[in-house]
Amino acid sequence: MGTIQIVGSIVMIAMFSIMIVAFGIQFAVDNSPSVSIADDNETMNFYSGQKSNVTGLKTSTNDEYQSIIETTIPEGSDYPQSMAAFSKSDESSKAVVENVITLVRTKLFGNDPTVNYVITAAMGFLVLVLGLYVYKTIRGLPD
Amino acid sequence: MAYLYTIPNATTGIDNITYQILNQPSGSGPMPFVPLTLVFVFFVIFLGGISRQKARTGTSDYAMWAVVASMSTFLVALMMSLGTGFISLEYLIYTLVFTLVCGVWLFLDRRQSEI
Repeated sequence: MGTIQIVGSIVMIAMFSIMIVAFGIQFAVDNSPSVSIADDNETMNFYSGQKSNVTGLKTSTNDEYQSIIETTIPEGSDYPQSMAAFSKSDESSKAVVENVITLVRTKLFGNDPTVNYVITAAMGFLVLVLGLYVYKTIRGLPD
Repeated sequence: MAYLYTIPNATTGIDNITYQILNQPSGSGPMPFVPLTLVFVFFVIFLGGISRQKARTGTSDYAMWAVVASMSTFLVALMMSLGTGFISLEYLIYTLVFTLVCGVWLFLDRRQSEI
């Protein structure tokens, strides 16, 4: 999975989560049901958090694009300067997935501390895989 | 014989039986009708979709059908929320979060040739 594809997937996850919650809220506004999604505080916090993450993603992407088009190569230098490609966008992208994981943990698993260990183990495995990829890039091993 | 929930009065019609199962007194046992109905809706669409797609094309897209089924279940849950006593806020939020999980599965499951 390439960088463009993973960023696109995360943006789609953010859009999907905002769309689903917004549809439920607007359904309640239109029909005045006895039970509304807007009554749940954690879901509303998740909704506002996802919206701010998408806004942050747009802002940081604009900043990065500005940084890219202002890139210069100084005389006698072998590499460009003032380009920090997508170094800030990852924070918003990471927060999008973290928000979903937090909501799943608090709602579906009842905020059980055991699930925290499972998520920690899964993230530790991802970091290990990342480290192995870096090592493989440098050394060519392991496969 | 002990039952998990209070047996409804069966002499007053099937609509009253459904109503009495939906409105179990607090502390008398679980309220199984609404969550089982939502599970039924989900699995009818999910299993039906993947089996028919597999019969037609040879392969089936589990993540896509999970999203279709969970969104349909969420719509049914929203319709249940229109009336008093049908669905509690907890089950509505469970349905919503499960839909989000299926969406995450779909968007992280795409291969390079797909969106």
